[in-house]
Amino acid sequence: MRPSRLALVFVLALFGAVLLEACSRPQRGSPDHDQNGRPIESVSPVPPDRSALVPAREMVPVLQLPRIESVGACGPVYKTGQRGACINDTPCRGFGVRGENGQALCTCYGQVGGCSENQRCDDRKLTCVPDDEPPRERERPR
Amino acid sequence: MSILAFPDAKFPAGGIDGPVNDAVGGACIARSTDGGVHFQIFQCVSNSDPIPGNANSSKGHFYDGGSMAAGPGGEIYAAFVDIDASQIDVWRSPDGNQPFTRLPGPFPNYYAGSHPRIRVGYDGTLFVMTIVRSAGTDVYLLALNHLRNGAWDVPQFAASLVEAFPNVDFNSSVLGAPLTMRAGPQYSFDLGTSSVDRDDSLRFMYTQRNNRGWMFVRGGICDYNLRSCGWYDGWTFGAAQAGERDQRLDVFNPNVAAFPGFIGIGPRWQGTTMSRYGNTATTVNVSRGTLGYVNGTPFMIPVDIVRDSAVCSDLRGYWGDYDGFLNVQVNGDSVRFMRFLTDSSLGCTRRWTYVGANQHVRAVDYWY
Repeated sequence: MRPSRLALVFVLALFGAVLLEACSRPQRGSPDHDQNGRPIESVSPVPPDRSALVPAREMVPVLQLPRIESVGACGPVYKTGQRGACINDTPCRGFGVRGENGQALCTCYGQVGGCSENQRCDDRKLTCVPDDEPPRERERPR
Repeated sequence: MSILAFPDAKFPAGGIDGPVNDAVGGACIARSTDGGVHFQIFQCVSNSDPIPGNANSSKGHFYDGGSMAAGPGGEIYAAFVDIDASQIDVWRSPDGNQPFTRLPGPFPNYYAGSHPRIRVGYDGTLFVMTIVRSAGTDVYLLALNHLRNGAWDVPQFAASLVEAFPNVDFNSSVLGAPLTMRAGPQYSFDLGTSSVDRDDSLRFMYTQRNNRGWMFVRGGICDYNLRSCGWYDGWTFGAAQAGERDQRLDVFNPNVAAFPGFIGIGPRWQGTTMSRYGNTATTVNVSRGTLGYVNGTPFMIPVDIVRDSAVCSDLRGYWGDYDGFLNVQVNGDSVRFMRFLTDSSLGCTRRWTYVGANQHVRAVDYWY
């Protein structure tokens, strides 16, 4: 085979390989566009509009205070069968914590005094919920 | 991967009839060394610090909602919500071979309340997201922190009024019982490539309710150092304002996934949500959208990738609430994204307190 034919075969083989590779690639999904057909860019090539950003406003989380033991047998029993606490000889629909001044307090994740009579303190929702609301359960083993 | 653990010390000799919450203590981490073909338990992790008022705490705290991530140096992190202590516990193995040890907590002064999400940045910085109890009436704040050079920063708060543990009401009945769906964590984030002249390398999504009680999903950004966070109206999935639709639309279960880009392949930012539409419904849709910009203006258009997927929850509403979303493959200039969700396409044949049948897991993929 003459060198020129060899080169032609090589070029054709290379072209075929490139074509095969390109055809075997998954088709990229059409990029998203807005209503005017302009592409939606994942990374903005121009500085993003600063006025569009709504900043996170000032937010105040509940501070966690050190927990204390429930003392005595006055802890209320919720309708779910779970128990509240007995703090300062008083039924507590929540749990006991040591307050900033060292005093024993009943609280339900920041609600000082605990939950009201027809509520229970829920350790998943971190708040008072209706006493008859079922707890968010893990399934039992099958 | 990790699974919840039932230590012998907490498991009653006579077994359990009913919920198992009181018997869960810690979690076990399983490892594969053959690309996921086989897994073996690597280590069980448990926090047994005594909690006053909780006699069982020294037998292992109740862990839930595991999230794992790997760093660029081979380090592996596993995070769980510690329900007993209302904290997020983070465990670290320096290389995936040495055992995991527990790190100091990322939100030690607050009540943390839902499944953590973790990601590791290009420089090995670990990011953690969860919700914490607010002192105001908005109940939950979206909280973030990062671990850099072995030390946590001061927690930051990216959003308020975050929905938690929603029970989606379909206002319909299946097999003679009301159809509801008990959804899981309502926030997600990922780390990726930043825009020009604006550090938006952390993008997040979270669920809120509008003034009609319908759920919708917001998208927002933080800078890599967590000094500035906010949300974009243009990245809203669903109806943020009442009156936009006449039939009920709930959008929830947000997920964010980024592809950071590589030589010749542009970066990608994708978000997905689940929705139920109509005054009554028995199915859900899953949508995706580019968390992106048009000429610098934040903009996103949702595109359905799953339509009319039948829901068959159990009578508590459980239908598998741990939807995942990943980029899984690159080919040429295309990136393959995969969204996981519960699948009941084999039909709803039984609903009982703890069982909804059929329930399986399905993956939906697309190239973008």
